[in-house]
Amino acid sequence: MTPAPALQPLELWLTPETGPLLPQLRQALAAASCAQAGPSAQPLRWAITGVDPQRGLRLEGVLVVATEPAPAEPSPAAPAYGAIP
Amino acid sequence: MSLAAPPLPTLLVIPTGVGCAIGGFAGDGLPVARLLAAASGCLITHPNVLNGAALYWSDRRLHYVEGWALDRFAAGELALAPVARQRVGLLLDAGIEPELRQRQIQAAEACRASLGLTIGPVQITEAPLGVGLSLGASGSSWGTLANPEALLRAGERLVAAGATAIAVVARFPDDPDSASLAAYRHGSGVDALAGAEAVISHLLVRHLGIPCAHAPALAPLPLDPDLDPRAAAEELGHTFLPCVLVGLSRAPNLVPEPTSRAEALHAHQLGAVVAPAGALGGEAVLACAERGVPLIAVTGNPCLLEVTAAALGLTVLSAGSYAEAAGLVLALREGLDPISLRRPLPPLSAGRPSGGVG
Repeated sequence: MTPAPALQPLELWLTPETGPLLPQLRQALAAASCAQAGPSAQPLRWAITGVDPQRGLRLEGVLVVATEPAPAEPSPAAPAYGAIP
Repeated sequence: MSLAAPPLPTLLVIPTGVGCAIGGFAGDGLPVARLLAAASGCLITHPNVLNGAALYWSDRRLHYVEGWALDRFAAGELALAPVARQRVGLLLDAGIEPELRQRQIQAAEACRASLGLTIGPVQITEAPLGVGLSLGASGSSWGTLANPEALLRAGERLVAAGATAIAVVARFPDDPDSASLAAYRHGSGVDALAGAEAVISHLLVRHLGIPCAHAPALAPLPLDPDLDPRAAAEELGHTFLPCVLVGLSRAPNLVPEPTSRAEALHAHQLGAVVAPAGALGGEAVLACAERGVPLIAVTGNPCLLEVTAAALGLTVLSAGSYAEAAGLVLALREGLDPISLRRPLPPLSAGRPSGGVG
């Protein structure tokens, strides 16, 4: 049984450290997703949508959250795809 | 012997639902895509750029890759394997009224009969998808589904029945009198549908691992004599489906990396990425920039975001227009240092390379 998904908006601000930006964004998104919607939440779509001298970078996105068990088995033809790292 | 330089695989990103002056409407990014495909010999871009409802352009140099898969490709997690054709399954939202549903099916029939595309089977979701539209804090559009489970299950049935790609048509809310729709039709504001469309196709591609794209089902709008040309493609017929079917008909397969398939395109082959100068904060652009792929930032395509190279600490090649961007892509393809095309030409100094991205 695969969990049925639900969608939620996500918004967070991040002041990045020096160094590569993308790993910091992914880490912050994963932490914020988990804090907002639990460990099953994963970002489906996100982008930096704003820059503020005090608050840093604004990220907006949409989360996929696993909820209750689904009624049907997944198709065997459907490959299992990993989470967005 | 050909004198042409080898293709330079190039990524074109025009983010969805952020009001880009070029590519923020109904397939109005297509001329740019055609130009960059000619300059590069190989352009990878996403449905928001190429979809013009009943209008489309099919070119073997253009690779139609849905946004979620595009991000995974840019991150080096997926390769793109060109195919001669896809069998495009049609996934219809149960919330579409019977007459409007029949219009979608007839559009698919037209693509079979007139273009020779391989389409089918057709699946209707077990329950209405319940599309909802919204705007984020930035003003960018996004949306949600009341019943994403029904979408995924219908997609699974299509794959089990032999579909190798999926065109989804979901019933979107009609709001013909809204100020935002009027602004969009008059050439300003944001495509209110685009964010929800991206959520639908992202969900399906992520779940199934095959090419998918979305067309909304909407009731026809009343005639507007002041329609902006960039929005006109969506006023031509009863459906927005033909461009999706054509795009998917030759969309590359999505192959998890690492793969040794000889014909596949890999992220490490990318020679350039082109994006609006104010919308550089997407995953694909950032992944390319961090790998050192030359990033061409087009200042001549404003949008409602101001996420610039300076704000993110990125090094870019600045282009005032897509015509200039195409020149830069061609220079890179020919092995010319773009810096040599501009004045003043900085002198060599010890300890730093002469050019490249600057």
